[in-house]
Amino acid sequence: MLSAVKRKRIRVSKVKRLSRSPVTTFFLAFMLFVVGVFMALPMVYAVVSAFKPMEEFFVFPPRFFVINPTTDNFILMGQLMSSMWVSFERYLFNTLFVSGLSTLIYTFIAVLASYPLAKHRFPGSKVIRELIVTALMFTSAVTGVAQYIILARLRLINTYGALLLPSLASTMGVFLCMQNLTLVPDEMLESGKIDGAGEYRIWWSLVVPNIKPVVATIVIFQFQSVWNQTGHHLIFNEALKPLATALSQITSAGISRAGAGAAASLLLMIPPILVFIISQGKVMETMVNSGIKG
Amino acid sequence: MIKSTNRKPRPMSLERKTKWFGWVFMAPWLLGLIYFFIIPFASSFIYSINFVTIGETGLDYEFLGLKNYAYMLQEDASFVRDVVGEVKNVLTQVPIILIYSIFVALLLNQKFPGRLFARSLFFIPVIIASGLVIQIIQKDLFANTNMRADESSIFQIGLISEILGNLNFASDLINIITTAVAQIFDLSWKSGVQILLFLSALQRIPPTYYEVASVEGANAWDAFWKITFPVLSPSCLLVGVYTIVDSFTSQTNPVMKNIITRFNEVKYGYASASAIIYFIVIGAFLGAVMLLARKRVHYT
Repeated sequence: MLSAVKRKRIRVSKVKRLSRSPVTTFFLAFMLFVVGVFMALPMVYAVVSAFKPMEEFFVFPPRFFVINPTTDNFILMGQLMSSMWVSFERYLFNTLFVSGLSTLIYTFIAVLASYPLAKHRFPGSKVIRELIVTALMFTSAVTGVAQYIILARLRLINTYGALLLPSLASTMGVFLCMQNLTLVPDEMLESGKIDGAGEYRIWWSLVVPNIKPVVATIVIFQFQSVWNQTGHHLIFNEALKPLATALSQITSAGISRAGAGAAASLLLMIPPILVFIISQGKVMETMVNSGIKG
Repeated sequence: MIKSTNRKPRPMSLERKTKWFGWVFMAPWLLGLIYFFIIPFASSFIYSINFVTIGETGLDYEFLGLKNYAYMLQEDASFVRDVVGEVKNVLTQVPIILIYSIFVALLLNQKFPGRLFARSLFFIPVIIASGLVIQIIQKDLFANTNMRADESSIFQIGLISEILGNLNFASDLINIITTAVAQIFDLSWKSGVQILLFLSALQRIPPTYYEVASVEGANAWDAFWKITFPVLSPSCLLVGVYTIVDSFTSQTNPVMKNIITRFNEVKYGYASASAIIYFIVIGAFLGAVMLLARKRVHYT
């Protein structure tokens, strides 16, 4: 019995990184709690608002919490959606298809491209690295017109491609990946080369596992940005429009749709949050056992 | 292609092989970059030296030379003023955002029950603040309240001051509290991505470093400055660059708003010219930051 306790205690002290006084621990926990409350408030507000009956939106002074929670907003939203001639499922499919595909392809090509950029020296690599930072600054708001013309020439307007292809040219993921790869020791990659691994094998078995947290971050970024795309000016066929456009149409009717709008915004938040939780969970699980030896 | 440049017919050298692989690895992404960044970039430069109108077959150009630029710098008083204001804004905000997000990332990197939940909580502002959700919330939920123009202050400050007022707090104290709350709130809304980036950097620090430190008798404070901070410094630069670019190109700042409005008014030439000047300013700013940081960053 006693020895069991002892063994347990030893294990605990092994897991614990550094001794910290209870006061510090309490202080840290308290800070986290305070800041966490701040972060949670808008989320709570969004959830609460989605269940507010119509009258409570107009109460003065405005109230934070709901008095008589109701699901009317969701029902109204459902009615509005079903009165459109394209079904809800169709919009949902469009968005999920485009954001899912874009995330998959982009993560793959961004991690692939960042490896030679960070680890190889060849003519032109410096120019491309500089270009990446330039492209970060030159946002889509500015290149929008020229992009539209290119999409039109490629005959991609009014197809999924109009949403998908420009999102694959994003430089943010490559930038993040490249910067993180500079921290992976060259010796590790060289050891792979000495063991006879080809470039592809090195990339897949040495590079990718070592930058998993960043890969997860790219997945989140990409999914989130494509998910929010409305693409009003790129897609005119109602059956191909993403969910975000459809839901913004609901709320464009003004204040009378406040409740339905709140319900819609709550609905729109869920998938990115799920993607975040899944990918972060994966990262935490894998990073526990695989310490990188620097 | 390789064979023709290779004078002696022999197997590819290692150097040549890596070069070849480099281009193959980059090809899919590079193709996208050319189509959706380099060509648009070049065409916005062409717009900027022309008077652009929409004609029947596409865009019609009328060559102006540098007149767009001259007009912007000499006659358009608001442009220069807005750019200077934005530079000041970024100078004050970025350090605060960096310190705050390192702090929160350190907290979230501790082992405690529910840390996945806590992490998601800190990322939620990013999800809400980008795209449609914020528009819906702003447009509908706050249509009847006095919202500040700043997008990040989604939460009503009026509510807090009202509650405090009911509790008979002095009005000065209420002001201090509400400003502090508003600022912390703005800060936490702008730091979601940064926290995530620092977290991913922290996860790369091998636990053995800390074990060695604790064997050597270091306390948490020493461990932070001797291990965590040096390892984080390259990420500081990365996050710094991200934050600078993000705040300069946020679509809510006056300069970007101006540029976007001009585009919507079909003044493509003038809008492109102001965009190019603005990005030269951002580029110079980033260059200065990188130059300053290069000496202080540790690469392992």
